[in-house]
Amino acid sequence: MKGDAMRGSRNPFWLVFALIATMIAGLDTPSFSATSSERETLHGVEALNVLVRVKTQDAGARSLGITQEKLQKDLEETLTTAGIKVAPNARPYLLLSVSMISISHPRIDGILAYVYTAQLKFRQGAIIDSTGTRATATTWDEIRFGASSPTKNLDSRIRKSIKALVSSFVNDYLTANSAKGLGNKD
Amino acid sequence: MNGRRQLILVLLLGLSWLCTSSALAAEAPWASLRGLKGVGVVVEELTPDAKRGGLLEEQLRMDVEWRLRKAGIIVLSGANLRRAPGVPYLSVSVGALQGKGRLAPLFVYSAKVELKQGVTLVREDSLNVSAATWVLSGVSMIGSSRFRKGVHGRVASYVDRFISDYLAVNPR
Repeated sequence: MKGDAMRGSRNPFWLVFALIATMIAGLDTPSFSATSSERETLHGVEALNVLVRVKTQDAGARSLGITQEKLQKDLEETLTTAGIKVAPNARPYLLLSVSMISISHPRIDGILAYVYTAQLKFRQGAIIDSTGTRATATTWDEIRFGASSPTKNLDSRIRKSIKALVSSFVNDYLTANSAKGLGNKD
Repeated sequence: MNGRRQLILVLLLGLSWLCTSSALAAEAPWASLRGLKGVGVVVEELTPDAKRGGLLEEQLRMDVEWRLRKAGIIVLSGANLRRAPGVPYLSVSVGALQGKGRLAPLFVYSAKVELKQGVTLVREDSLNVSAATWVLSGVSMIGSSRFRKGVHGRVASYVDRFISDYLAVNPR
């Protein structure tokens, strides 16, 4: 078997494989976080639409079962449970983008690793002060990225990242709408 | 190590796919750049690993400013920026993770370039904030020896895209 043949101690590929697999076994971190001014822009949002995009390059990543439909359902449920109204026709929207890619090498069997990114953005209509023109602006944005070897519960890592993003958004939403109150919230 | 080089190459080629163009205001992101008379440049504080990899905020800022000036875009700073309508600026953010010990040869990093400017929310006109109306971001993996150059190159490519969009609606 090709893989067995390459497990010889002189073959550098397995060393590289081991290095990468070990290195990325636990990488998962937020890189950008929402700021307080971004939080403020969630004040008074009565309802929001939810969009989910999942980008997978190959069957390996697709086989993880992280589908747009499942993520959309989970996200909508989490928001609704938190008291945030989800309405398909609402103008402001929350966009969850998840990208995954499997890393392989032509001379090594199997997948070396997966790298993923999960990003949550809240976008809403705005008037640009300088020109008075209308635009869709991203007023809340947070991203997480990480990497994992195939054997390290990649699926749960990605879900954990998404959960952290959504929790962050929900917390900010509730904070933004608690102090001043939502008055006219549905 | 030839195999190692090959592997890094495969990683780089593969991961370039992850770099997502998220030029927002999806309908016409460049439209939000119309009428700008220049932009400021702000490099957000780098994460510790990004600094350990040799990145410097000042160097990134100078690179970005140089590219803008070369393209004929006025770089605003200090009082000029504060006085500009909407205080428009390009915000550059880089986050990175480096392996530890023997695993130091690789970095995973994210880079984001966004144009922020003053906007008033349509649904609540009492809220005037600085928000992103144009964004490009992505995640990539790279060998530590090429990390600094790789990040500068990635940021440069995003800035070039910004310049292209800017000049499309603000011809010289």
